[in-house]
Amino acid sequence: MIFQAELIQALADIVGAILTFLNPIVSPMGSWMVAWMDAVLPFFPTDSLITYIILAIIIIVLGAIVNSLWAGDKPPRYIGKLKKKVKKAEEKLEEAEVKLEEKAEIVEEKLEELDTKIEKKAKKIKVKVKEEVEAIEAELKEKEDEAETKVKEEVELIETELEEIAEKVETKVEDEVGAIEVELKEKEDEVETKVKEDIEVIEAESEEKEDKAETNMKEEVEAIETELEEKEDEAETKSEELIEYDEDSKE
Amino acid sequence: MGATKNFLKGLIYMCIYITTTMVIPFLTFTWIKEVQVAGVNIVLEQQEYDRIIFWISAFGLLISSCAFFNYSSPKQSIRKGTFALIQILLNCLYIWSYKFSGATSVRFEIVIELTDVGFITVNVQNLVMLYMGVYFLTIVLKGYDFIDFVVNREKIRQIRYKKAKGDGES
Repeated sequence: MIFQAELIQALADIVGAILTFLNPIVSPMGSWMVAWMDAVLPFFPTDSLITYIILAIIIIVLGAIVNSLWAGDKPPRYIGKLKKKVKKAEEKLEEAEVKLEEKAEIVEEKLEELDTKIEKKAKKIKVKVKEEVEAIEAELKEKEDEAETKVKEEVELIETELEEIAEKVETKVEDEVGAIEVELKEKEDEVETKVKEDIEVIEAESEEKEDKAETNMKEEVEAIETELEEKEDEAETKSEELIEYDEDSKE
Repeated sequence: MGATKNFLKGLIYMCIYITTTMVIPFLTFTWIKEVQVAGVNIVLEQQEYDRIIFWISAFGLLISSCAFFNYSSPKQSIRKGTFALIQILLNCLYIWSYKFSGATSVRFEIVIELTDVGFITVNVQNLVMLYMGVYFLTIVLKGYDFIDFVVNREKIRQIRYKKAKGDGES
């Protein structure tokens, strides 16, 4: 044989056994791999190796630069700078805090002094204010008394004036009432006389009208009686004529 | 010191990958191209040979460059994780290129005294598929590594800086 056939056969058997054993696990994985590789491979150029060479060079150069700049044993420079800046800022902050604390202590002391001064002044002002208030209250009381007396006097004056005015008004009202009563009586008398005259006139008129009505009634009654007599006569003549007619008809 | 060490490491691994992905396959296929067994010439078709060599050198270049970037990067760094993942994906494509370029089923013409007698085909497709399954697991692992590097970035950095400090002091 060209190759040692037995050895190859044995190898092939081993590989075949492994493949058949792993087939249910490996085949779905393999199919997935084939799928994504088939999708990716059309993007790879098949004309020349130049693009691959360029790509390889770019990756190598990039790797050399990146990994020499940031070897990984130290934090990157920009981080170091940032850390330094942060440290400086922290130191400055601490200094500022110390200064602030000192200033705050000084301000507190001053504030305490100011408080004591303010308390003293406040006490003095309170005393002064009390005295002033008392003086003002006394003045006010005096003024109130004066005002009360004045008001009382004025009220008395007004009352007397009012009484006088009321008396005058009463006398005037009484006079006017008397005059009005007299006028009313005169007017009543006039009205009574007028009413009486009117009643007499009306009575006379009514009597006349009654007489007229009576005469009229009598005339009408007479006329009706004459008409009735005439109609009676007519009825008699017609009854006689009827009797004659009956007799004629019997015959 | 760290930078040069990384650089050297990257270079060494790049050389290893160049030899394993490009030089050895190239030599093998050139040797196979016209092999003589027991006085019989077994010839690999020129077109097939060119296609195989093209894909081997294309992906070999990319893999080697990625290996340089990967191995020159600091340990457990995100860039290392990224390039390791890319390298694995390229490896898959490289292995797959053996299949679609025809290398998994190589046809050898048997030539005796300038006359073509017949041909032999060596089919290793199933082997490639098995290898793909293994690579799938590697991709999953590398993906997990990448996520781990991203999530625990600060911790990893601090440990690394401490180690570097300790090495420097000693």
